[in-house]
Amino acid sequence: MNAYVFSGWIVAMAGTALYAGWTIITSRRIAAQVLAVKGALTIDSGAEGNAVLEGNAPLGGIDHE
Amino acid sequence: MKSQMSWFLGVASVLLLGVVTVLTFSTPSPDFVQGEAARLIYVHPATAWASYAAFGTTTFAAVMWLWPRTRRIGWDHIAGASAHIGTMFLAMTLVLGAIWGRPTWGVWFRLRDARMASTLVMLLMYFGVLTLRQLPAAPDVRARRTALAALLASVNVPIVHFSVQWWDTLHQKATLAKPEKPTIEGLPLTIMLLSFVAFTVTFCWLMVHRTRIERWNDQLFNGDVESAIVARQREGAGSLAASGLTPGGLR
Repeated sequence: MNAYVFSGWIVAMAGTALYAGWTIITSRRIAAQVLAVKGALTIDSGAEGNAVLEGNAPLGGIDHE
Repeated sequence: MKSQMSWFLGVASVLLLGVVTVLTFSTPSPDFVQGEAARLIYVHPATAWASYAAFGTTTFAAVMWLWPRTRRIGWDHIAGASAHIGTMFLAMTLVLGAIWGRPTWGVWFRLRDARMASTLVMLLMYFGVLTLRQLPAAPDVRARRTALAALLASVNVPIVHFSVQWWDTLHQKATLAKPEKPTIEGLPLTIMLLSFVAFTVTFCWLMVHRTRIERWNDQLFNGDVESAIVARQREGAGSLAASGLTPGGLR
């Protein structure tokens, strides 16, 4: 395979993947911060808690105290 | 609803980009003269298109924010998110163009070329838009600055696109978007169009996440955490309804 084509493809696919990964991690981090700042919420540990941070889970994983 | 959309768009992006990659390397090169390097036509114009789509979204959102009747802070979030994604795709386009240019023209970059120079100017202007958004300011002030800067930067989009028609410099003429018949056809055209779809879906996926980041940042740093909780509860309720479960059953 041509080195230029290979390099170009790596730039395009890896670049897009890295940007998407960074975006999703930032999104989760800020979601966690929003919950933490509130201070009146607890997040269950394990898969349920992680799913809540993704914003993909029902709020069964969160207790209002 | 939004989470389901994000999941669907994410899976679709990965699948489509995977299919484009397989097709690119399992079919003959689309150009006899350029040889192997011509395979980059499957990705370079598509990333450029994604940046155009992003900056078009930025411009639309900026106009919607500036128009008093439609002014909502959500438009600013959309403008910020799309400008961010568009800048990433445009930077990628420039790098890919350089990688393609070296074996084809013998140069990585030429500032005297109309397309390359105008693209670089556009990239710098959108860097300016993103920098303006980082300056400390009230959300309304930040939104106004963003909208005005985005409108100014958007003037570059048609200049970049038509630069190869208006000026006869190094960069080749348009392959698809031109009045005459496209200079690509058959399977290469299909792969190229599929790549356009793949990067458009990826852009939409990234928009969902970037817009959330913009919204949550505002909620976090402007003391509006209560509305963030309400938004999360709504999303949770939507997921519950879709899964057919009850909140009590998951505690």
